Amino acid sequence: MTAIEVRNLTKRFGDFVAVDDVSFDVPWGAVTGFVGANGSGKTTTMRTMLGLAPPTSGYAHFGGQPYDALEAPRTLIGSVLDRIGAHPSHSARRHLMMIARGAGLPEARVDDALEEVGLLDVADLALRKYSMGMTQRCALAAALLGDPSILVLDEPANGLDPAGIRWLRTKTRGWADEGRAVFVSSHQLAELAAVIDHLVVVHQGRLVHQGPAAELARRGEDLESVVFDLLADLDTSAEPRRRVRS
Amino acid sequence: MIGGELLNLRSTSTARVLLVASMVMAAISLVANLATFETAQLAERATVQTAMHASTVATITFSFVAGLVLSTSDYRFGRIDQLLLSTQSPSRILATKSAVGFGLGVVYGVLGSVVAVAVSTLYYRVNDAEIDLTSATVIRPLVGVTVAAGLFVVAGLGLGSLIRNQPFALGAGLVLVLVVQPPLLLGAPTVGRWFPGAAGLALTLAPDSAMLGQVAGGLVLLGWTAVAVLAGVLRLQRTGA
Repeated sequence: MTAIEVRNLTKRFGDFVAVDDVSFDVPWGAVTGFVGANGSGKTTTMRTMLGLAPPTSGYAHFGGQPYDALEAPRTLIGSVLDRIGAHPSHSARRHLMMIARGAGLPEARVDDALEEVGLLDVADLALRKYSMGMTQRCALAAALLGDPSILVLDEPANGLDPAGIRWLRTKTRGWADEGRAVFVSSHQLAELAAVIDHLVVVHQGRLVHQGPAAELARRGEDLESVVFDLLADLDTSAEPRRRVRS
Repeated sequence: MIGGELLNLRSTSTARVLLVASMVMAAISLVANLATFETAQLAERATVQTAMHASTVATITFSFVAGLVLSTSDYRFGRIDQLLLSTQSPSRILATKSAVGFGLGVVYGVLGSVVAVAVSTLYYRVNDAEIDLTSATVIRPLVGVTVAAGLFVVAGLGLGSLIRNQPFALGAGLVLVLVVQPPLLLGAPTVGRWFPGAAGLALTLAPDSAMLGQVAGGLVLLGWTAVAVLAGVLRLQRTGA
């Protein structure tokens, strides 16, 4: 069984098809990169997978079950989304405590998660005083709160400084090596190239490639160049994004 | 989930600021209303009833605003994502928020009542008049406002979850309660008294013969509150976060 199974996932907003019949698998014990240009549908795909936006059709299963059927979803899936989801006057500790209480997780996990992302010393500072990188680390702490086996991370490197990006790469690799499934999106493939085992590429809401990253890299070029070439070819040859009559 | 919602409530200053504002406005409304009467009229039942009613309007208006702000903040700051990641049941989320919101409204109502009793006691003493604080004329509006404040917070939560945009929700909610309903109640009372604002005023025993009775007003307000919460649940189910 794969960690995440996405089948024929489609999400329309009116006549705009944001995610168009996308199917892919995310294996356990590996880092799966989710790549595409800005506006290609990565965030919408992830939000739809996580049940934050109801799909028009299709499904995403985590460990064989849809998100809404999970008894304690945060113990299986941790996610970093496009926004942290906290009031700026709250501290990181307070934000995580709220999530822990709301999800029925042990409160002792709050400090563990803050320590893992290196925020324990500034845990009582209001989030509005955090840098963008610190805010991203707080979002990661929230994702790790339930000690989940699957991590869904939407652009987790946004706002991180070079040292932070390096730290994230090490962490991401480490989580996968522990047996977790890590599904991580980025529009900067260079950030991912060093750690990913599998790759899912989307373009204009459609899946254009999925498979082991090594398969693409075997063409003799680095992964970033190969994917750029792939997307450039699609820009000139593919049909424009689908619109439907609603 | 209730633990998380209570912590959220304690962690944001909005509810506390609105509570203080509602208590101040209740006191000002009460004094301003009593000041329009001659000292000789103060002991009359109608005067006490009008004054108590004046203090309750501030409490229920601020309760409604508190509900609107608390629910729209979830969308403004993206907290709704975190709630849905913990449980994907919109009805459970809104039920939890409603339970906590009702409790908050009761606090608004109780403290508003304490202010009304304290200020009226002081005002009557200064004016050498007597007020029977144990009479039904005092007790019934204050019990009514406590229930009404709870229901108005929940109605605000429901409407806020439906509209989501904070400025628009606040504008729409206040226009409905303060601008649309009063002329309707004056011009067509047989229709206007069934609207949520008038039902809330009936629950607080407003001195207006066109209003529903206190219990009927409470039931109608409960119905409107249930409709608002249900609409919020349906919106969350249909469109997600």
